[in-house]
Amino acid sequence: MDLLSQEILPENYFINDEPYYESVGDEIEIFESAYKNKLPVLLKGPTGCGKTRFMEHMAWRLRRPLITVSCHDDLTASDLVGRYLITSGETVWVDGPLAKSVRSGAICYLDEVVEARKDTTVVIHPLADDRRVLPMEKRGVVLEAEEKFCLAMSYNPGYQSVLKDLKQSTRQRFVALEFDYPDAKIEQKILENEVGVDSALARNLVKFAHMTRNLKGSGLDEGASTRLLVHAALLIKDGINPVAACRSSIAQALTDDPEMLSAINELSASLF
Amino acid sequence: MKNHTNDILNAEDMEERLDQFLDPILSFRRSAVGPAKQMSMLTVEEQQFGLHWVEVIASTNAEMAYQYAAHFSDAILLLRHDLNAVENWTIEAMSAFDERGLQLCIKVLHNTKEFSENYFKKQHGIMLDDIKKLLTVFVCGLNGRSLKIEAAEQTCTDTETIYLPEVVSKYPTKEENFFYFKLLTVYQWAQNWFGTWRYDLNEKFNQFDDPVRALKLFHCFESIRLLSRIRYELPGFFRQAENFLNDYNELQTKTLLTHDDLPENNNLNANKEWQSIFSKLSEKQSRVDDTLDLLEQYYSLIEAVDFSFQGVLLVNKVQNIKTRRLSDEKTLFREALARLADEKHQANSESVETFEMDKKKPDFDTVLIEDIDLPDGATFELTLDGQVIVPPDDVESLMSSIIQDIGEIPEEYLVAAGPGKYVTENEVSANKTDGVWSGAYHEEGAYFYDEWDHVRQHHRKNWCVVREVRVMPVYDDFVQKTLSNHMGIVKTLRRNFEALKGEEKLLKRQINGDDIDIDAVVESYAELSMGMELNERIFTRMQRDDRNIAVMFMVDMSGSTKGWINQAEREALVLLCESLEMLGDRYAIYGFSGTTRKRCEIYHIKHIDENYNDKVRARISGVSAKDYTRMGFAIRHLTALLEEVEAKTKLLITLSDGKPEDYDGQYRGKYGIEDTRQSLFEAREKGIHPYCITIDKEAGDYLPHMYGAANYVVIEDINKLPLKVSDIYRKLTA
Ligand SMILES: Nc1ncnc2c1ncn2[C@@H]1O[C@H](COP(=O)(O)OP(=O)(O)OP(=O)(O)O)[C@@H](O)[C@H]1O
Ligand SMILES: [Mg+2]
Repeated sequence: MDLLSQEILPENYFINDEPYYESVGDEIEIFESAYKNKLPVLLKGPTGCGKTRFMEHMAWRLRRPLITVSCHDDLTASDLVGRYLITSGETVWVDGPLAKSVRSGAICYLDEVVEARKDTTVVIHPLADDRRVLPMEKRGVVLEAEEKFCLAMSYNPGYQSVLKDLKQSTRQRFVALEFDYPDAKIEQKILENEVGVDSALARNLVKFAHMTRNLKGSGLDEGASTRLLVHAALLIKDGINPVAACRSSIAQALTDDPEMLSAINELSASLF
Repeated sequence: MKNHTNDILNAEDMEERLDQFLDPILSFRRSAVGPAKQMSMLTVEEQQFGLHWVEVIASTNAEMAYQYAAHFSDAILLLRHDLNAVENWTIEAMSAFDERGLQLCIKVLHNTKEFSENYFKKQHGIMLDDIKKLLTVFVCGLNGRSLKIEAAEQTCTDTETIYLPEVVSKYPTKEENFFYFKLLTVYQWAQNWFGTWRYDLNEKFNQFDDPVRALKLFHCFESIRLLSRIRYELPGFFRQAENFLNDYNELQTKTLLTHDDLPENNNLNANKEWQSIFSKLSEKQSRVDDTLDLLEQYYSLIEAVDFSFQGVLLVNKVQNIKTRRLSDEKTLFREALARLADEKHQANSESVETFEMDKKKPDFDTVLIEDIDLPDGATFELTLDGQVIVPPDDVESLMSSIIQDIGEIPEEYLVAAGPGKYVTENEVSANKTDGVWSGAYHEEGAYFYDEWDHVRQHHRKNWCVVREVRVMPVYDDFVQKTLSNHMGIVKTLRRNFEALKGEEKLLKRQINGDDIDIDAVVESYAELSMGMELNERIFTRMQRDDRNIAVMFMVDMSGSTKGWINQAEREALVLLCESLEMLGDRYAIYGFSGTTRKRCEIYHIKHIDENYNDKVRARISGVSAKDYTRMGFAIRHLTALLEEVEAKTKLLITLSDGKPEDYDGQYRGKYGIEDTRQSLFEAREKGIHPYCITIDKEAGDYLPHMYGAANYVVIEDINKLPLKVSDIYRKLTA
């Protein structure tokens, strides 16, 4: 097997068709400006509110490959930067996704960065300030970022665990874009465009989402995200009864507490 | 002897069978003829059932068995041939005998009618208590100010609570009765959300010569309007509700009748009038103003219809509550504006050197944003000096509440509160209490802490005199009892905490270990053949995650915790200790309370490195309700203690039952809240994470401001406190 097949080829990461993204404010403008000024960007916001979609859209807009790394607590610096491998007696260096992006001028998106080990986040520090370099300790070189390289990461501040807070020295390097669930009208439009449901149904789904968001802090940790609404809309479009669709794709995703579940089901039954 | 098979028994046969069991108490004056005759009319199954129980009862007491047989047939009828019900009735009679003798047992057998009513009520009826939480969550999900649910004689709302009957059993099935509860709830919610209480209704009704008549007619019209708004807002609900709105439907169909449909057309005029009322009130955006217009128009022309679901309008009560709320919220809102202006001012003066120059009055305003989904068809955005600002959540909900009451943010609300008033109030009361306490209390051996004065925007130096005092240990079986009462919970907690602790981690790239790290070997081989130094870190090792957490629990011992709150706090502490011991995190527990700044008390329950021993247990048992809730000093003192501890993560968790408050009144309200907030800032600066667990349902109004939106939790049900505290701690440090 060709070991180099593990290698990331940035040219495969271009996004050719416009990903549908409904702008909710000035986030596109700010991202473009940050990009132009070579500033890294931090996307804050609850789960399922469109951060990933936004990145895809921006990558398409800026015509850059988008290399996404989903962070987890075993992610080491080598996983990002790269490592030596041996192939037929020879050692070969293989760039990690971050190094690849830095070298080729791609957009590197670190998803859920708080999940990564704290020492891992440190390797991005020199990249995220005006030095824009990636030290490759193993090779003893310092990689300078290509002109068009861009670093972005996402972070959900809703996490309650104090152990998973983003360090000040990390967060203060980034231009932060705050995401939240879109306005009722925009969210409705998203459902209409993304799923192709009619506006009456989309409106009701958004209304239902707001009902669950009213419950945040009163029994729910989070209200329904846009993602969950998309799921419900897909099921309903497929012929599932709306109340049943809301139960399976939204209520059950939000809580296991039987009383909360029945209250939420009552709410959706009032709408549909 | 005849059949024992499943043929129906005639009166004779039945008597024969009964005689067998009842023999000891039968005489020539008392025979089984009567009961037998009645029982012969029953079905086979009922007969078998009756005979079976007569036999069983006779083996205990023959007289009781006779009485039972005599009442059995009546019971079958009254209990609607429901043998489950009859069995329940039988058991109740037997236990009455066991517990209190024959007389009471006979009483039960006599009162079958009463038993039957209760039984069926319970069978198909719904108790409010059983669905209170569900309904509370349900209305919370609907829009608007959050509403509590309580039981009361009359169904109504006071704009902060919805009052509902204790039980609904008017429909034959549970589903229907539950829905009826929902109908009552939604209707009362609609009054709140769709503006029934926008104006002082007393004022309106008093303009008519018969205010009671006016109120009745208003209530009727308003109900029609609200149902129509509900129809648009909650179509699914309304579809179902239609089956429950007989009186409303009847009235509405009447309006559809034409001249020809009517047998005698003397009512035709009234019908026409209802027709125009319905059509006016069914407009999508109909408002209470429309209802009031119609009231004027039809006051002397039409008689009100009392809809069964509508309950009553408590005009006076609402007016009182509203007046209080409006004035509270106005103050709060203006204070919030002052804060917002301050923040903006500070942000500006950091970058630009215009500190003094820039001190012009902040100019707040609102912009109307149309939104047809809202009851008034619009909402408002807040602007400061011409720029739209997004206020924090607590201010936002304050704004919505005001808009819900008034329909807008009136101009006089948009003036940021000035500091003047507070200074004088504070000064006066501060001086008074100083007088009371000076000399009476020695300040030696005490700690001194600053306190934050938000009006002056600086600390009052050495303002609080703080002492660490001892909790009198109480050696009893409190801990043991708590553990056995909560056995189930303790088990769950153990399991959950075990899982936390049990998170063994595979450490890679170790110098030595139990296994070889293949990735590392390959890599270091590669590096070696590149001519680099041999990397020795090629092993893996399992290791327990080193949590390295130190946590300080700060327990409210103020007077308001007296009774079951105190009990719940102590139980929570017991379970917490149990859990933390399992986890191995270091923890300390202190209580706090005090009376005025000169007597701030910290109660030592467990030092950070003290073992969880009998003494600590006895102190937990001895925790009792003391005085007031001055909070700043406690946070500062415990922060100081926690600062001494070496740990990667430090937590300060407060268990509280309400707002900070002190005897002198000065600490109440904004002063106390701001001081507490400031002390939490100071703690955070020292790398401590504060978190608050409270049982104050109003905490949403001030805790986000003090602790930040994500750093507190309200526990609705005090009984859950013991479980929740541990659970929250687990989530917090997972
Ligand atoms: N502004 C938007 N325009 C178009 N689609 C959107 C938008 N916001 C959300 N969506 C829809 O919601 C879905 C979930 O969004 P996305 O995956 O980007 O969430 P996320 O913020 O990355 O969540 P997570 O933090 O869980 O990764 C998308 O697949 C898309 O269908
Ligand atoms: Mg994502």
